[in-house]
Amino acid sequence: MSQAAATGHLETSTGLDNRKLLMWLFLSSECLFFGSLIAAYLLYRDSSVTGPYPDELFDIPFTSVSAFQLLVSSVTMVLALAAIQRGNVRAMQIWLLATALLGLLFVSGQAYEFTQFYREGLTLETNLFGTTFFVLTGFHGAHVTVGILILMSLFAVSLQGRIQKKDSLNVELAGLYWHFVDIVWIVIFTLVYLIQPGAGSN
Amino acid sequence: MATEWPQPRKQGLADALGWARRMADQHYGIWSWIATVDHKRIGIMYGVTAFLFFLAGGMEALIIRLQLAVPDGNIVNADQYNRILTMHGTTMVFLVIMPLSAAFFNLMIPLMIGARDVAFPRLNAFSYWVFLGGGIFMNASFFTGDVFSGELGAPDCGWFCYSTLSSKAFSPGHGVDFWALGLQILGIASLASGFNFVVTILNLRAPGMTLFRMPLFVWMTLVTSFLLIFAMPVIAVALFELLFDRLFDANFFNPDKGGNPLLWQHMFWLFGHPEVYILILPAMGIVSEILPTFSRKPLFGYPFVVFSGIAIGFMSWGVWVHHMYTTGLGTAANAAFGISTILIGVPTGVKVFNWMATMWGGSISLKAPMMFAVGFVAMFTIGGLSGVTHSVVPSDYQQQDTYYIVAHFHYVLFGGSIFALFAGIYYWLPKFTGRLLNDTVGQIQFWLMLIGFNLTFFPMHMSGMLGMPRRISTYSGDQGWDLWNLLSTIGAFTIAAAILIFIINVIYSLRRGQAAGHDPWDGRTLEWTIPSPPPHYNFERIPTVHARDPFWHEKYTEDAAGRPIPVIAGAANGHGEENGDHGGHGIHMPSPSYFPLIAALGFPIIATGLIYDYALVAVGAALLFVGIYGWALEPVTEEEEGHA
Amino acid sequence: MPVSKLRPPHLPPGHAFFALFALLLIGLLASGCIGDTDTPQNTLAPEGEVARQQRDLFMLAMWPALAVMIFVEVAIVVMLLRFRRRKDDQIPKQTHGNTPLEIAWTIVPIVIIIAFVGVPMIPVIFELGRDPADDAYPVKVTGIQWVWQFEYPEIVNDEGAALVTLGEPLHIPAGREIALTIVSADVNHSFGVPRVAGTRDAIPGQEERMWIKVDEPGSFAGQCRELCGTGHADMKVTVIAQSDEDFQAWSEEMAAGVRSAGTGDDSGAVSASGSGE
Repeated sequence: MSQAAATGHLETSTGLDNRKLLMWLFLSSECLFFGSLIAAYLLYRDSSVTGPYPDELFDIPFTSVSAFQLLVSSVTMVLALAAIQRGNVRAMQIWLLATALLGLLFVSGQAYEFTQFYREGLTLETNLFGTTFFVLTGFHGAHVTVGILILMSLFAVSLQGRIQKKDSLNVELAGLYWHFVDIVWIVIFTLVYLIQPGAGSN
Repeated sequence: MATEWPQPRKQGLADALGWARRMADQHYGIWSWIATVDHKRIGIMYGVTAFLFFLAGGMEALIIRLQLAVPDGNIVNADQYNRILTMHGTTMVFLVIMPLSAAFFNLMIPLMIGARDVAFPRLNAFSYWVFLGGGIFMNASFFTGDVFSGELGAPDCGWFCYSTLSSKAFSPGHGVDFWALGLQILGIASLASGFNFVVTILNLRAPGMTLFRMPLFVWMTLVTSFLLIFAMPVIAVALFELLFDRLFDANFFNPDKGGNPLLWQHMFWLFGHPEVYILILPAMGIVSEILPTFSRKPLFGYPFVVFSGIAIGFMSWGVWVHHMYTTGLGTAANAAFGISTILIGVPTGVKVFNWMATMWGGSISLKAPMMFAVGFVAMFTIGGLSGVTHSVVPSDYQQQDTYYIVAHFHYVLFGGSIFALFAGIYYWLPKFTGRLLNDTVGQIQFWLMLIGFNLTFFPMHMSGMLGMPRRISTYSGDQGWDLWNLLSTIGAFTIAAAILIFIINVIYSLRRGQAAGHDPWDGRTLEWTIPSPPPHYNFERIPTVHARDPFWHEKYTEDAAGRPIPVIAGAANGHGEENGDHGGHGIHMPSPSYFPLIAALGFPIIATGLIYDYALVAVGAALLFVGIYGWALEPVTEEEEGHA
Repeated sequence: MPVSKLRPPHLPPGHAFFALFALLLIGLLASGCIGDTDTPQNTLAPEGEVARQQRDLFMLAMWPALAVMIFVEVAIVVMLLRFRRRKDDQIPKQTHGNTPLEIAWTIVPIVIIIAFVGVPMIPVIFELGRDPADDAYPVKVTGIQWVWQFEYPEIVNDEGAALVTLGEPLHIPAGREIALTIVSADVNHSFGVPRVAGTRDAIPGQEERMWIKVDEPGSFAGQCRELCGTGHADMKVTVIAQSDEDFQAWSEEMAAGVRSAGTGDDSGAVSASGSGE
């Protein structure tokens, strides 16, 4: 907006940058989105009429490694932001790549897990567990994938020199999104994988 | 007068289409509209499109009323009837009231807060194009059956499409897919709009305009936008679940695999109840602007009307089960939600009292905007009161799914929202066209519409109490429902006549209407300080605001005895005509862009692909990506920092 | 609009329209009271215990609602007439509000509706929503596109097979509590017989229990209340309440006709007639 066009800084009534406020609003709506999917999972948790059931399929150690990868990716994301806020484009690029790579590892782990479950006979149509699990974690994985695309786009744009210290907000916004997706995974991992109904309760 | 037209962006994919680029930069012509990011133009497009859908939904209503005018009607068969009634409801809620409200958000919010545009002009354009695509996509379903033998492909499950009727087993055609995918697309438009207006209202207010100096319409828009942000994701998930069940054999609502069809109802109404407040709060905001202006008094109890709106926003999340009393959720749940539903009537009642107190002691001008606004208060009160009778759980068991419910929601949505939206059109359209609508014709339209509306919907209280269920394609003549249905049909055609008169009024006034000038109504708020139509940059100088109703305070002050008197001319801040608008040199406005449209096109194509051919999904996705990448990478120049 | 000598000069334009409208509204309101009340599905002419309690609560809520409506509409008309702008009008006093008034008209409505609507409704919710009594007469109601099926566990033949009827009226003994179990075989339906009791949804995958009780023998009409496809409008039902002797006689007659599972036809003696699928 042209209210303070000359300085290049926008004065907003709240003092918050428009795009940062937008990102926070978007993330809060995503809370409702994932909340509804998680609620569906929890509501149907003990209701599958036939197997396979979670305790037969889950490989907690494997998924823990995946979760850890995503957690570390949040650290590298923070480092990327810190780098560009100091004006260090090179370091930012490295950390962005690292974040994207870890994200990619996570998604690959998910894909592998899905294939394993599929081989054991779990599909969308098998039972309620299959339906709710694949839809919930699938949407989460899609969000991570979109995040990876955003990170790689930032990386590509920075190769043209178009991300400098003054543009750090772009990286910060990507970081907000990335951390959110990570937090959602922590919630999913806890509620879906770690806190299970007792074996054979179905 | 010389103006600074928007400068083209220097680089970007769109420059490959050099010719299209040059066309977008013109101020006239269809290309300039296609690439516009100007909130005023987007508002006009929303309004015109929504009005066309209103005519479509109205035709659907007339067919319904023709079918039900007499017992054992056979204008349409039961299958056609179910499709038409589904599209009538879906159209009116999602393609008429919501976008008409969006039209007013677009047209009015920046002007009322003293801004040059919304926070994210391209996102704004994107919302409109997505809405248009979704509306066309959904209506295209009519033509997917064998139309010439009377087979319509439209959805037929009712506007809230309960499970398990919505499953592939019981609705094997594509109608429900069109419904679910269409709503999904529309949801994206609404969500984007919600984000945009929250940021705009919170961040782009003119200096001195604190939250409690904002016009009430702005407050209601803020609450509505928050409701959109939180409610749309819930329906999005419900629709995804329905689509996964239908397209990929998931089990969300499949009782054979342990799924619960009631989950759909819970999710739909968890969205659906905030949705009905999304439908009414903007209307309440419009009326809260018109009543003070035409009574020449400020809105009585402004802070309380604001708090009531906020309270309604919060409470709307706690009443959804009142749509499900008869589904067997148990006495405790029904009792709890019965109480919460009774209580949500209170803030609405507070608003009604405040509106009446606004009029009390005023100097009331009965021009068309005021007639519609007062009509809103009168009709909405009736609808609200019948709503209170619904909240009584045991009697709701008699009312549920009868025409008594149909009467209630038409009183609040037509007698409420639609009347208020017409009030807004008569009030604010002159600001954008520069011409007043003919007031006498407006009065005739008002009375015809009021009489027609009551003749249509009041008898439905009777037929409902006499047990007539909703959504039946015919009824037999031995039930005692005949007279009421006939009256309703006569009323419906009366409404149609009123709408016809409105259309004539608009067409006539666009050419020959009286010039509006910048302040035809002796208004109170900032939009009346600028010329009609406004220059594309809105305000030559962003005003500094010192009070609520800032324009009123510039025009009128109080004498020693506390009586309001006009401010002596010359002492007022120059606005528009007095100091002359100098053409806005040096004001940089956001450049037009094609990318919102390109991205928006992706959605209906993806949706069509999901129904017919997955290759189309790839095509739509590609368009979406190109659109988004182009949009994101359009260069950030100094004056455009912070735009999206 | 020219002002004639006969018309008082201070009436607003459109007053003729308004008079027409007022007459219409009053006529419509009045017709509700005067109209024929003995129609087959009149929710306000109860013949059963449940319907009666529902009707009584509705009247309790309706009168205050009607009073508020009349007050608001009359007040609006009075204000439009009294405060209508005249040529020589000053700008009115710019009253911003009145906090005590705001508090009053928030608290008082809360008290009134809780007292007159909320409180009375709670016991009725629990009474009407309670499980049927143990000695209630049981019938299982199944909604099937687009016909109602009734299963009578207490009408059995010699081998213990129960009576199942499809598309036939529901027979019940009058003056006695009936336990209905309502299910659906396919999509959502809703079993509504207004003069007996309000409607109750039949939802696939769940069982609804409700009790009804009809005072006197008679015949009562109802139909499906939830959109269930193209046959929704035809999915009608009749409830026939009979005196104890008549119902006994009917039960015995039906029991004699029930064929057992072994004969390969366990759909009961009476097959679908009337509206079919």
